Amino acid sequence: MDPSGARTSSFPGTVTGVIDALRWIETLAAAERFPEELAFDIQVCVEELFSNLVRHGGGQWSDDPAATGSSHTSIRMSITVAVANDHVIVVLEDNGAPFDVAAAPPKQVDRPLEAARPGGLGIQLIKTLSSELAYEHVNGLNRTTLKFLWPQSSFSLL
Amino acid sequence: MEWTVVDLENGLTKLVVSGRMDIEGSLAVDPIFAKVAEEKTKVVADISNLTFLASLGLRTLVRSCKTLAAKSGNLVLLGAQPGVEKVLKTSGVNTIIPLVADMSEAEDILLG
Repeated sequence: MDPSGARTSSFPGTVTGVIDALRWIETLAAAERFPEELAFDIQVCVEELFSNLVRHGGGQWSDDPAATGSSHTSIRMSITVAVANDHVIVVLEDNGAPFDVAAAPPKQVDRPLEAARPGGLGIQLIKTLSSELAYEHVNGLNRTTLKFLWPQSSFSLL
Repeated sequence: MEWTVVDLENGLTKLVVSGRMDIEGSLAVDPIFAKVAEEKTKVVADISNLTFLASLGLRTLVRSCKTLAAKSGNLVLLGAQPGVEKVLKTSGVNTIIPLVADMSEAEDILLG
């Protein structure tokens, strides 16, 4: 991957930080003229990973520090996006609790409905919407690298 | 996120949600879905103006569906946009909550 032209931004590990990250992706996608499907898939994966950090990885679930009883302002998450001819590489880094998303088992909703559990669907989304996924823990940081292929047509439904 | 709840003359309840069910939108609309699921029985969630959906939103939908099903109620999702539909199918949520294209289809399922 040629790092020249890659763009990076960082955000606090808060709900607002997740929203700002998604807006940043939206703006970059518009500037780079990503197909709608590609922009959508990247946003879903970023939302999944960063909201998981906020909810479970030491981030701040409430934007009011007083509500959580402690300061979580040290949790940061960053996104780097590099655009190639036929794919986009998205690297997500954070200093939250170690979490190897590549090793986490994907899950779909169970049938029958009575047995269905509403949680844990994010991993399935990340692993299906991205074409490649890699994880490493480097210098105290979670680093998740996602590859998204440039779609050849508009939304392909399962 | 914006939402409205309308009780229809045929006994169905239509919950219209617009905007993005991202982490912020899902937090905002989850209590609305919970309330509708508690108080109503046959619900059409009009998601035709829902432009984003991820797993927190899926949690809301599944929980609402389970609440309704526990009292023999039902939930259908109306008018999913392509990206939202892709998320619903990737996660398998479409196998427990029907996706419909129009109100006629919704009525067929809910009023049987």
